[in-house]
Amino acid sequence: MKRLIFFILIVVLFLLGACDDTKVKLTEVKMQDLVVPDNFNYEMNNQIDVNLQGAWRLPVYIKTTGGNLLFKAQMNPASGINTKLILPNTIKEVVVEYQTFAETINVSGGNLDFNFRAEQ
Amino acid sequence: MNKVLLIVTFSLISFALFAQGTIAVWGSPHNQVARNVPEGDDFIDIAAGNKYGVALRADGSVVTWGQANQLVNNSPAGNDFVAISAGDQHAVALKNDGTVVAWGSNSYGQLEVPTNSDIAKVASGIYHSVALRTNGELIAWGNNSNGQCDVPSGTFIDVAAGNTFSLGIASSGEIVAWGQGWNNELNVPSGNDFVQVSAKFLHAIARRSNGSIVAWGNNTENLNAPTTGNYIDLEAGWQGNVAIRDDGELVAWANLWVLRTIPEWVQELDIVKVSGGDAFFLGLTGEFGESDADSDGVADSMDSYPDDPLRAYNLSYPLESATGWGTLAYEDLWPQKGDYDLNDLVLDYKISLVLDAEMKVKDIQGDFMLRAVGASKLNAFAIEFPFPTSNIDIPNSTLGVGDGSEYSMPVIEAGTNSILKVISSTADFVNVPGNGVYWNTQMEQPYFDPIPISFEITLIEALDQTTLPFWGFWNPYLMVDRIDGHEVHLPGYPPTVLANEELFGEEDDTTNPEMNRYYKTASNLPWALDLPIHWKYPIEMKEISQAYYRFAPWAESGGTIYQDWYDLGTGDLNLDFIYDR
Repeated sequence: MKRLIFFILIVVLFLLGACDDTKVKLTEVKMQDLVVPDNFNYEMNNQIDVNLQGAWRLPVYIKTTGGNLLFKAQMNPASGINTKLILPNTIKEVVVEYQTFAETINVSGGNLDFNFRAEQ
Repeated sequence: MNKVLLIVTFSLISFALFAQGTIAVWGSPHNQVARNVPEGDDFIDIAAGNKYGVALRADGSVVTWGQANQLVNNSPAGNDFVAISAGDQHAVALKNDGTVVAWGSNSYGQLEVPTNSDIAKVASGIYHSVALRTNGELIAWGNNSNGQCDVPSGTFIDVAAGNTFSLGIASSGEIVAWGQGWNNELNVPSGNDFVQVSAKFLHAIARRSNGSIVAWGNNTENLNAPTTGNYIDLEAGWQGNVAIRDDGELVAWANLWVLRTIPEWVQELDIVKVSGGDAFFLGLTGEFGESDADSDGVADSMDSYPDDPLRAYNLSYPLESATGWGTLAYEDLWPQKGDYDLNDLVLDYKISLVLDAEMKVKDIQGDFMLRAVGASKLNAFAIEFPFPTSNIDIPNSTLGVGDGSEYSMPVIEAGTNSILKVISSTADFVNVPGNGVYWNTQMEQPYFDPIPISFEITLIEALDQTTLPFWGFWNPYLMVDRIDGHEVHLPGYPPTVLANEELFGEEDDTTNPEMNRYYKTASNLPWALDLPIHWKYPIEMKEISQAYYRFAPWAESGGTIYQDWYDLGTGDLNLDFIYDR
């Protein structure tokens, strides 16, 4: 039994090692050798246009999917919530909590639009 | 569409704290509808039926009232309802677990609700109901004598049910109709910009994304939808329709003259939701119950400045930075290429905006930490703001503070914009020895604590965020050797009107304002970076791509891979080339 376990362990370690070999190993590169696309401006932040609509003067919470609060405001039923949020590009989705709803919305396109009236 | 209703219990508690909706009835309601309107100011949804009304309380319970001895008056018990809809003599309620309950008449199977637990929205017509599932698909039950329950496949964003027909807004934004259209109910308007649809009997109305309304179906006054104005909500009833305009006014059009005029007392209410019944309308006020000491429309509990009507919310950048700081890093040899260690000037920043109730910027507070000066030149640092100097409330602004003492930050007019010279010279804070010895960029040299620098600008007229230029509310830049006009901006950010245009395109720079190309080399290398974290910059003379191995593939991919290249925790680093103190 011990031999079997030892054998399996060796195989697993071998496979893990093989996987590691397939990973791209990055090394230093000289800046002068970089080929960067013309339209790239090294943005690490994403400017999000927020447009949220709802019928109730109730709190709106914009959070990360991990639950961290990014912004909170009270819904204005007449005009909605219109603002801008600058988020790191690493954040692709946010959660908007309003009334009884919790909507997960993709913001990588630069917009955070949602009409809660359609849900009510 | 709506994913889940998992937070309903928590949210209902929030509701009880904030919502204070009362019900208004007008038109020509059955006397039992008019007399027995349930009391209370905690309603969160309403639905008008045929001689009855349904309301949903903030505690999740449902109440029905109206003509005596109707089956539909027997509301279901429970405190887990989140939405309601009313048909002719049946009503439905959506529960927080995604199931639907129906009550009232079952003459056409209206109560034979599918057992789905993935319902996001439900709409009742005369004798049938249609529901929208969380995956966007539809399901229907009740009277199907005209095929009104034969739902089409595909995904939808809204549904409505009439008499012999049903409607949905497909994910494409187009309206789809099915069933029988004896009165042109199936002749839906064309377009792919619809966001809301409503029906009840022989006609339907819909709202486009631009806020306009279109009506179709039985050729009566019900089709005379308003042709002007932008609307944010609408509802069709039997003999009339009502919509909420974006200025809060209610607008009605109807077959019955009594429904065409909104009573003055109703207009004076803050109606946030409407529903059309048989010869009457229901409206729900959206007043909040909490106090609003400064009367700015934001409840005190949500107002960070409850006694100041000019201020309501705080918004700080960078968001989601573990330390709360971002980093600006510059090279200072522009228009010549530098050594790409990005440490000629390194500033941590934290920008705090104070917004008013309409989300306009009232105050801008900038906090900086001067961390590194890897330059032999004495440079300056400034910020361009998208408002004129005349809009700065100088007496109420603090311009500025440096290293704990008052530090004068000149305000300069730049066309219609303002420039704040945050650091007039790095020599004001840092004694750079020179002769190859720099400040906080060489591990073998002494370390100095970062130097705090801050300002606070108060605006006379709050800044509308919807009118900001593409670069947003700030455009920070380095001034090489403190020379006005010798500006080094973030890549893609434009120069100010005071910039020396003769330098554009010189040496290694390829700035071309006509092409909206700014501060990049011919091979698209930058002179500055804005990082959303407290960034550990490279040591002297070590290129950023030598210190952070993921930088090169990130840049070459156009930012699509290794988006967290700057994080020390990601690996693929040469820590010997990073100033980590």
